[in-house]
Amino acid sequence: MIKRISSIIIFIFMLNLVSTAYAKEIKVVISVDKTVVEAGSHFRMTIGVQGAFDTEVPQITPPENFILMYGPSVSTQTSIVNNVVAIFRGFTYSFSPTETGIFELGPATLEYKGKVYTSNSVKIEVVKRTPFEGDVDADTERSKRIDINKRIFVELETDKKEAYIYEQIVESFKLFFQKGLPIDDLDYVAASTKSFLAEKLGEERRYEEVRDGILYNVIELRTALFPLVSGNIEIPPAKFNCNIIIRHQGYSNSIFDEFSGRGGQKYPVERSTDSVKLKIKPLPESDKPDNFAGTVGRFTMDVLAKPTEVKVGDPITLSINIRGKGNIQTIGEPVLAPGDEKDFKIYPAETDTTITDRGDGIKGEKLFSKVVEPQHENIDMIPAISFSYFDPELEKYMTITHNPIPIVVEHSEVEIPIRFSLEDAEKVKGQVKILTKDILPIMSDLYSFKNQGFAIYNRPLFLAFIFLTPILVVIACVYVQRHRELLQTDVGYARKRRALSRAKKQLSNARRLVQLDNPSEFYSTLAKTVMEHIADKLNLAPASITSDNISGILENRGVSHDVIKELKECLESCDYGRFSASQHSKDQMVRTLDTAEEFIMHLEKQL
Amino acid sequence: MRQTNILIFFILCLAFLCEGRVLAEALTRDSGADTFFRANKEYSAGQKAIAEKREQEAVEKFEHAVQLYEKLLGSGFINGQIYYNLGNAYYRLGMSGKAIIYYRRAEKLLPRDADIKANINLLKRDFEDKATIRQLPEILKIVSFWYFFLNLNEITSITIYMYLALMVSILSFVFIRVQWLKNIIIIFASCLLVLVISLGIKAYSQHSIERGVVIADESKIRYGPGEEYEPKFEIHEGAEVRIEEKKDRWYKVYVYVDVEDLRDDEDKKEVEFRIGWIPEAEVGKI
Repeated sequence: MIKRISSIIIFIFMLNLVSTAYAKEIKVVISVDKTVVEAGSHFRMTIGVQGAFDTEVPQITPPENFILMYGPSVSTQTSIVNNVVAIFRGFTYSFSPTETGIFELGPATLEYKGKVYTSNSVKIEVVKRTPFEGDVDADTERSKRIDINKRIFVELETDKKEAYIYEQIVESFKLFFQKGLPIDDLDYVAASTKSFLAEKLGEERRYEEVRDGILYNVIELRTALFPLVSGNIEIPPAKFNCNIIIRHQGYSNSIFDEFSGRGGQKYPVERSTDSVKLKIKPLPESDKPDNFAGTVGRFTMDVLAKPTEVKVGDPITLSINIRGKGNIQTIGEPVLAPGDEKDFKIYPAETDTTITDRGDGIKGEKLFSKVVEPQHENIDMIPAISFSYFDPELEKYMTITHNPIPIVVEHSEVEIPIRFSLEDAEKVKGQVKILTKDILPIMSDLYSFKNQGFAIYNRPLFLAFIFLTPILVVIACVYVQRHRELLQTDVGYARKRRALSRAKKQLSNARRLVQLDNPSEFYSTLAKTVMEHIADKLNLAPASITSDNISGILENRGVSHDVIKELKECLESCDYGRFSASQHSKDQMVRTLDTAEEFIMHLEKQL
Repeated sequence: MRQTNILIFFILCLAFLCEGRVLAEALTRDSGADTFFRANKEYSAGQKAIAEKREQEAVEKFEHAVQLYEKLLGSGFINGQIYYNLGNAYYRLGMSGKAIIYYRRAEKLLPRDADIKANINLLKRDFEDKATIRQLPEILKIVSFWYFFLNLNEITSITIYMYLALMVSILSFVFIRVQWLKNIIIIFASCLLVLVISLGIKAYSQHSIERGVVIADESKIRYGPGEEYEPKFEIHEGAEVRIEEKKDRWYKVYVYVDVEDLRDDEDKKEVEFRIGWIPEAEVGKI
């Protein structure tokens, strides 16, 4: 089903194309790839039929000494530009002339739907063939140059040679290059237009054109020029640069015979146009309207006033639209017919320019939005609005006048502000004189209004606190950090610092053993605690301290005899408790424990 | 846990104290701003009266404005704007000497304000005695811009912040021994040194050196503290002096005005010559 619908759509589309093509005029054109041919070499001739694709082969009778090498080879091209379908059907033949001379090829005739169409004819010059050997003939080089110039060239032209100042002139730059000639890197240097206001006209145009029997592709760039001065003005030549891509093949008669594909070597080509001379006439002085502001072209004017019922002093917007062909940018402001100055307060107009068409010249519109304020209720219309321009085609000044617009103005309660005259502004300017010298005004910045009487520098206690506290904190931190470092790095220091806490822990264990009534274990733990505590305090190995040498070691470290005596008593009690077989009471154990605690506390003070 | 509670308690107490101080200051400020606003209104009314040639009314308005400004200052609310406006009001009442006193006070609190300088310059142009206070070289003002750009309180605050920043840097260095911290410590220490020196100089120049302005139309500088001493020369309202000593009701002053008979090449003599005694009532302290 879908396939069927698609087929119908395609059929309708094709039918539409055909009908469009039929609507066009049939045109038959003969073109050749070269007009100067060496005898024995080949050239191509194409009979192009424009406007139909279902034609028969056009009839042509070539000269007798032209040998048909192949043909016709049929090609069809369809292009859609601006919704216009263009159909081109080409019938290409290749001939090889055998004799020198000038021959006329064509015209070709085509019979289509009962009508006979005749083409142009092309003259072919057959020259003698250049031999392979021998010196390079200067004429051959010249012919090559002629050939190159024929294959690619540029033209600069204007639509008129004579115009009025500010009148629109369309300048066209055309690049002709033979169809199929591979060119790249196109660079167009526009002609200098110092004495003109230039405005680009649309996009480039591309089409085909036959010149002297050769079919060319044409690229056209157009510019609208508005002359700013009168007199004889010359538009200097425009320049064009591009590269021709040449694919190298062995020996060839002509350099352009090598043009047959892409990716070859690039040969730069530079072309320049001829200059164009223009005669620019000044605008006639006679019959020049007073309100003429230099607008040249052909224009129409629409005026809209909104609102038309207002109170005194309320604004009315006048939308004045000037539309037409010419330089839209420079359209002067239309003027209101002179009336009583006190009737309206008139504000300068705001403008908005729109170019609507850049096809065959600049066309567009300029909208003037003007605000007027009626100043009293006796006004019943806005004065007539007139606009003058010079029509270069009619060669006379034209004035469009819009009739006065009726309005209703009601009384307003609001007072209209006094309008100051600008006459005073015309006073002579000069150096300003100081009239009086006076002090500067008072300050009243409540944001920064605060009591500045609190002098920080005058508060010794506050300053002492502020300055001393951080120092104390820093000292404390230094002490703590040093302590931490010593605990990590100095074993002796670490043992000494931890000795008391360790001893206390072991003493509490011993106290627990008293509660368990385990004398042997108690005395053993107590003796070990005391000896280890001394070893920790003196940073000695526990094994190096015995009951025999302990007194000497402590004496050497300056421990008092009383403390040493306490130690001895404690150790003796421990030895007695550990090694005697007699029973030990809890009281004895507690006393020994107390003695050990006292010894440790005393030793803590002395070491 | 216990330590945390103590810390929280301490922070709350501190916050309470700060909040209390801020609230008290806000209340004082509101009432001060109200008086200030009324005084400004009176001044503006006086200004308007002058423009409308109602001179008697203008004088009354300015006097009332002065009363309000003085009342505000008397309540302990000190602000550069009050001093400046009071200077303006005194000027309008024709007391240029007093105006200079208050402009100078305002200048101490608002050292960046161009209006104060402009008014002082304007008044000085009309004074009878030509002032000879030596202007410091411009380059010195640029190099030590903070000294001229900041008031004493601002320099003190910045010094405190700089000191705290230095302490924090040192504290950080105790725990993190990195070279860049050492560089920061050196920078902070250098800045602190400069600030402390600036603070010292500024505090000395503002508090240890007493300055005054002659408020009488004309005043005789005498050789000694009493009418029995011969007058040395005569100075006029607006002349600025440095007060060096007080005896009974007389000030021993060094005058900053051009004295006719001084010889430029004998500095010592010039100094001696500029010193004299002036009645206390004829000088207003800045």
